[in-house]
Amino acid sequence: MIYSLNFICICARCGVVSQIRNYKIRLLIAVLTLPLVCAVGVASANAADINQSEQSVEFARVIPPEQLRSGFTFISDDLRYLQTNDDLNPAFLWVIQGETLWKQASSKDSPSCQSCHGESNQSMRGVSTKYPLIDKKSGELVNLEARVNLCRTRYQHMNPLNLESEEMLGITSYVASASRGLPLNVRVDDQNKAHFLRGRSLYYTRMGQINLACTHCHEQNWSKKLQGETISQGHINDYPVYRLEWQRLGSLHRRIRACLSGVRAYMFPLGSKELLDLELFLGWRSSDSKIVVESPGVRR
Amino acid sequence: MRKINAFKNPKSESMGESSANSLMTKRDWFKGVVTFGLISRLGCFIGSQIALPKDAFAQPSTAPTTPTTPTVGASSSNLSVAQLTPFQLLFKEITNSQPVTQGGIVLETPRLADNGHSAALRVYVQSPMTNEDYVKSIYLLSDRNPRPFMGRFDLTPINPSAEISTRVRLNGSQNVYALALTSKGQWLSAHVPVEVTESACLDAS
Amino acid sequence: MVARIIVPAELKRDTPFEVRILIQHPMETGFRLDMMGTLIPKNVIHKLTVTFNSDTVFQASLGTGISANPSLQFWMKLSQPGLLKLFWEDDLGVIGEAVKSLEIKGPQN
Repeated sequence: MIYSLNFICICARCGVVSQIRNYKIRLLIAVLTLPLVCAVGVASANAADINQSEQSVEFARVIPPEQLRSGFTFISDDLRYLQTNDDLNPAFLWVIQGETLWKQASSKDSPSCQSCHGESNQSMRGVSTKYPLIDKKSGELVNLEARVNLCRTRYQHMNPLNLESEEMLGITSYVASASRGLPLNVRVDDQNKAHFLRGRSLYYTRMGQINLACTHCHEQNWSKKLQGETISQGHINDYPVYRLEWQRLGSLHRRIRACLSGVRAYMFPLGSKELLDLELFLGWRSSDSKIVVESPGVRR
Repeated sequence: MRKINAFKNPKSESMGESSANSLMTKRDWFKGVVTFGLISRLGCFIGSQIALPKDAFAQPSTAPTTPTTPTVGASSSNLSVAQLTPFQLLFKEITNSQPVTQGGIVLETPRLADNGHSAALRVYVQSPMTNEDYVKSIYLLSDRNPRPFMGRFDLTPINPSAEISTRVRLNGSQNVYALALTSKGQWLSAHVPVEVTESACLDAS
Repeated sequence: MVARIIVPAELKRDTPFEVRILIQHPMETGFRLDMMGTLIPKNVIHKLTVTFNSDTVFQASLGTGISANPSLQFWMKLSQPGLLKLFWEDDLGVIGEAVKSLEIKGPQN
C-alpha cells in the first residue's frame, strides 16, 4: 500500500501532503515494511485455512454437526430412485460379482473369503465403517482395498488385485454394503494421528492451477451450484459409487483424483499415502450419527 | 555520487552550442516513446481488421441449444435425400416413407437429465395388445446423437401392455423420438424434449 | 459379465408384472479414446432375447444410444410356471445368459 501510494507523507507541523523523494529513505521504508506486507498477503491468501494446531485434541468441525448431510440428499430424484432400488441400482452388478468372489476359493491352498469370514452380511457388518486404520502387523495405514490385498497375499496366497479392477470393486462394494444403515466410525488416536494431520492439511491446502482446496467447495460452498450441479458436503459414506460419468463403479480414490483433475492439480496415484491420509481425515469428518453407510451409491 | 547527465540541456542548444553531443533531451525521449506507442497501436488495429476474420476471438457457445422444432414427416418429404439429416433419413428408412400418425404414444423422461450418459426413458403405447391388434415394434431415435438409432424393441401379444423402460445416452439437449409399428401396419410417433447438463468438473480420473 | 433378472416376489396367475433386466456391459460407442489415445472399438449388445418356456416374450436390438450397463423393463403375465431365459450377444460375439425360475403364488384358478 505504501508503495502504491508512492511514499506519500504528511508533514506533522504544517499538514501538507507530499512525496518522499529521497531514495535512501524510500529504500529504508520499503525494507522495514516488506515483512508486514508479506504477512498481510499470506494471511489473506490463507483466510480459508484453519489453524492447524497439533496441540488440540478435539479437532473443530467446520460444518456444524446439526447441518451434516449425506451426499444422497444432494442428488436428483432420478438418482435417488436408482440408489434406493437395489433392482435398478447398476452398482449392484458389482456387488453380485463381489458375492461370487467372496465365496470362490481358487485352490485348496487359497481359501475363499467365506471360509474365514463366513457370511459377509454378518461378519462384515460394521467393518468398513472403521477403515482406514492402522494394520497391526505392518504399522501402516490401510483402507479397505489395501486390507483385501493384505488378506489375499498373507492368508489366501494369491496375487494382490489391481486397484479399480472389477474384482476389487466387487469385493469392496460387497463388504461395504454389509454395513448399510450404520454410521461411519473412524477414530483418531495416537497411532494414526500423524496420518490424520497430514490428511487434514491436504484437505485445507490449495491445489492446482485453479488453486482451490477441498474446503472451498465442500465446507464453504456446499448446497450452492457449480455448473448445474449442487455441491455436496463431500462425505464418503456411499462409496464405492456408480458414477454415471464413469459408467461403472469406482472407488473413493478415483473420485478424489477426479476432483484433483477438476482443479487441474497433480493427481495422486490410486492407493498413495496422500490419498490414504486424506481418506482417514474424510472418514473422521463423515463419522456422525446423521450420516450412515448407503453403499453402493449412485452419482452423476 | 557522480550525477549522470544522460540528457543535454535544452537551453544550451538554444544558445547556439555545438550539437556534436548527439544525446537526446528528456522531452525528445518522451515524444519518441509516445509516438512509437501510438503508431504501434494503430498498426495492430489495422492488422487485426485485415488479417483476422471478424469473429476470430469469438468464444464458441457452450450453452445447450434449445431443442429445435422437429422437422420430420410431411415437412421433410419435400426435401431431397441429400438435404435430410441422418435422423430424418433413418426415420424415412424405418417407416419406409409411409404415413406416420403423431400421438398414441406416451414418452416420459426427466425434463432435465443429470448426465447425458444415462437418462431414464419410459415409452407406453396405447394398444389393447390382443392377437389382432398389438404393438409389434417400438423404435427409439435421437435427433442429435452421432447415431440416431438407439434401440428397437419387439413385443408380442404375450405382453399385456406395450410399455418399455430403459436408460439412454443423450449427446446434448435434444428431442427423443419413439416410433411404434402396430400389427395392423400403422405407424405412430411421439417425441419429447430433454435438456442435458454437463458434469461440473472435467474428469480425467 | 453379470446379468440380473428381477421380478416381483409374488407372481399371481394372469396378473401383469414388470420384468427388470440389468446387464453388466460397457456398451462401447466406438467414439471413446483409451489412455494411449487409441479409439476403443464399438461393442454393444446388439441382440437381446427373453424367452419363457421357449416362447419369445421380448426381443431387443440395441444401439450405442442405450447407456452402459443396460437396464430394460417390460411387462408380461404368467398362466403357468416356467423358466424365464435371457440371452444376449454383443458385437465381439460374446454371449451372455441368465435364467430365472418363475412360480405362481396365490390362489389357483
